[in-house]
Amino acid sequence: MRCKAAIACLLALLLAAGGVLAEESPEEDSPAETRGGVLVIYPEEADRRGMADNLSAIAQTLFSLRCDADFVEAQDAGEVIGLYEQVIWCATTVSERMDPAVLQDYEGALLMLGAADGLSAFGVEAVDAFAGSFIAVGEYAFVDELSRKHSTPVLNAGQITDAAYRSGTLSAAKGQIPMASGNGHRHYIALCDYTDAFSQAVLLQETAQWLWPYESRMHTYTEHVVLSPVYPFADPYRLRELVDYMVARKMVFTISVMPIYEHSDYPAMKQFCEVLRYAQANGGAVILHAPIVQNGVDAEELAEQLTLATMNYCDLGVYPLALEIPSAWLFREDLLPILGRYRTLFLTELDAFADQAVRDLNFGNYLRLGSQQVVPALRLDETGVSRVARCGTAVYLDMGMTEDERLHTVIEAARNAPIPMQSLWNMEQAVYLNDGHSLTWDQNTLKVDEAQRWITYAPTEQTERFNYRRNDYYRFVANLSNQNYFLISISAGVLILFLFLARRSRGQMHRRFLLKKTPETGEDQHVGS
Amino acid sequence: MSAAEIISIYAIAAIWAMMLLNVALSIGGYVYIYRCNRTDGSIPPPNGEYPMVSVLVPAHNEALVLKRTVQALLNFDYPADRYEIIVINDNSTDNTEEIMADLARRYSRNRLMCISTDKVVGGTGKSNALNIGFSVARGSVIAIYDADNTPEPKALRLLVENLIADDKLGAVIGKFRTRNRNASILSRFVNIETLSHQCMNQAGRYFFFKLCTIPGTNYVIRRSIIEEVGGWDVKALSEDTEISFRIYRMGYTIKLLPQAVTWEQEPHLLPVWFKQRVRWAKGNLYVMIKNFKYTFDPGAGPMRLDTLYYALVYSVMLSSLVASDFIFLGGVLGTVQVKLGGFSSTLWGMAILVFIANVMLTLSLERNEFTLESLGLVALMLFTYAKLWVFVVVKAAWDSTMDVLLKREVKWDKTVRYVENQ
Repeated sequence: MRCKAAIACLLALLLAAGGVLAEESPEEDSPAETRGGVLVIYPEEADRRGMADNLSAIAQTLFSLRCDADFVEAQDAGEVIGLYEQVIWCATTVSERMDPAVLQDYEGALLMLGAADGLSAFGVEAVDAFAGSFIAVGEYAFVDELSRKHSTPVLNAGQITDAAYRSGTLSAAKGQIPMASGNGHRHYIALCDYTDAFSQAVLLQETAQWLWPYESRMHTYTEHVVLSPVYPFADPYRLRELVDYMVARKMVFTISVMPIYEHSDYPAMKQFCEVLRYAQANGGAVILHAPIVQNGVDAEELAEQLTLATMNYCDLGVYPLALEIPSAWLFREDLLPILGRYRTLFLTELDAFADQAVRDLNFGNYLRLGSQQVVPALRLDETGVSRVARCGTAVYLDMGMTEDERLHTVIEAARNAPIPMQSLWNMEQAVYLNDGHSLTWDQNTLKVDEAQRWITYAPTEQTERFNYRRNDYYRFVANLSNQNYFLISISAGVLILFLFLARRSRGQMHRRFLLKKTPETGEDQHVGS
Repeated sequence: MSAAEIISIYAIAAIWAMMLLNVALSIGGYVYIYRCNRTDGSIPPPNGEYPMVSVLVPAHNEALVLKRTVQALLNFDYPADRYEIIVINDNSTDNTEEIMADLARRYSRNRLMCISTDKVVGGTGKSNALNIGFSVARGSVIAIYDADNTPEPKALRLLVENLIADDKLGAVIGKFRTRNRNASILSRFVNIETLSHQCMNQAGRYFFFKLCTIPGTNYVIRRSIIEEVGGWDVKALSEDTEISFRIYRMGYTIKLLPQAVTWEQEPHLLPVWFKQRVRWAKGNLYVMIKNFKYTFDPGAGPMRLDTLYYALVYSVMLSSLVASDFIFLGGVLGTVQVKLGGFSSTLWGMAILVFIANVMLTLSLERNEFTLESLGLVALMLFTYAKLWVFVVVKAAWDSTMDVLLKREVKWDKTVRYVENQ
């Protein structure tokens, strides 16, 4: 007993001491000295759509380079700028200028985009020949060292005067400056519009140069070839041919399928899923395209829809490993918890339905990567100038719009890119859904709701005669189709009878008021005029 | 099955049942009027003697229209010495009395008599005015015309000839047309409504059941009947419907004679129209409640069908329309969900077509009414004018209930007249 009492006292003392130590620990109350990722500073009340496009391009660039991004308006930047080792100064719109005073004491790595106004303290001088806003001709050599030209808007462009690094050129009528210039951890890109493939490619290469000036990290990244969007009612044979085309070339690829909520037992759906199972068995991966929502996205409803659609596919042996979303959703604070349920996200461009949402965006709420990977989408352009050949990203093959011949061309372009292709099956994947449902791919084991599944493919017999239950209103509480038929028949009969009667009475009216029998002959004659 | 779904099924069944009933009545009415149009409606008395007729014209503030009415009444082709015109100037506050005095000076006092009442004995409604006029009437046949009517010259003769030709007839009613049909879109709607109502409801019921309802104007009735029933019911706002029921209970029938036509001024403004229709609906509700007990009385004769018909219109039809409108509105707002399968949009399209065709069929029996313009108006009516009926009946039911609860005196709302361009 005495021994037990001694142990108890000792434990009590230890716990008390632990409590005291915990209270006195300075680490609990002091803020973190730095916050990972890059801080992007943008103007207050700027042109929201234009700014959203540029910020989205910057975000996607940073995601490509596996960097987190935080966004802050210039007026609030002073409070947080000290927490970041890298800052992007985004002065790309005309409507509002930012006061560079916020950067005054900043000593970290700084990438300045757009107008050179007020940046002389950071080595950037505006060039008179580029004063104002106009179109200049940009020329830039990418990693293949082939220079390409492109017309691009500029806004009070300048350059770093004592630049140790220069890249590309911007030519105007009265002069020429480097497209990008740098000195130490200060870097400047004179472009102000990053919505086209050329500018995005420049931004990506220059951002990598700014982040890692002495190493070429970009080439360690990979690309995903994504067929998107793919609908169940599309021609399954065309999809099968494309899959065969890529399998024959030993390509790894991803298919982005539209969510299906009901009628998953229809033959068309089964046939579609058979092609998808065939693709999975040949190295292809499947991801789920986000629901197309026109009137605003409701987080709760979205979670329900994603759960339903994912489980429908899983029941048919198709396993969506990731989610494809519009990039605007990354700015939606209420959606971030749902997006956090996916290990891998694919981003598409801002779509028309996001226009209204963009105006209300709060750029301050932005997805932080953590263990997630976000794969920005890119479409190949006609000239081949895009980030596709430069870095890891998702190459989108538009199934809805593109002819087979062009698709083959694009596939070849992606295949010949210096970046290796990546398969989602080569990475760990996890999808968490409502009601405890889950889909995981870990250590080469696929699990749905913790039960192991295998990727298999075996051709199945398609049902010739499928009961579509067109006349079986099982979800209705009462079926009134017989009454419907009866009333339509009656109505049709009544209409025919009425037409006949109306014609008859018109004849009577005609005889009464327009014709009168002549007393002599008994024949009709017209009365009056 | 939810309450909304049960109500929906009820509404669908009731609306279609009433529509098919009206289709059947239209066909009957069509056949009857078609047959009538083959003749001129005249049945000359075998001995050539026409009975003495007293034409009663109740008038309360009718100065704007009365002169024209009296001139039309004086223009009847009925033997001049066999009819008298009694205008009851019922406590008017306008210059009706002056106009009447002027008319009396110009025409023989034997043919035109004017009785003026004050607020002590008059001004309480049409029934009271008719009773006062009847007290001085000399005719064995009583004819009633509203003060805004311009009957055709042959109207009285045709009505009286038909009445005296058949002892089983208690009354004969003519047809009324809208004189001011082009005054406004509302008066165009009213014109179409009155024509189709007379074909569908009056002629149709007469064809199948020898039943029709006195319309309040352009009718003749035997003096003996008025004396036997003790005059018009002064509590009834629809004295015409009320007395119709009493005539049927006495074993007589009422005949519709579409060849006897009068033209009358209809409301061309919505507030006036609404007030008039609420009064009618209140009157009909009163009559329906008063006579509903006869629905199950085998001795009441064919009028049982009429009380049943009124009950169907004012209870089943009204409730089904209100229910369907609320369910439609709830569906649009997302507050009501009805899962009834099998009804196609084709059926709704057919229902609209049947409604339009039904009304157009009744118009096809009238001269210059079966036109493309009418077709457009009927389609427009379905979604506008026809919807107002629900509000009229709801208002009438509310007012009637409040009259009973608050023990209010039933008030006669005079239809406001206006000067027409002649």
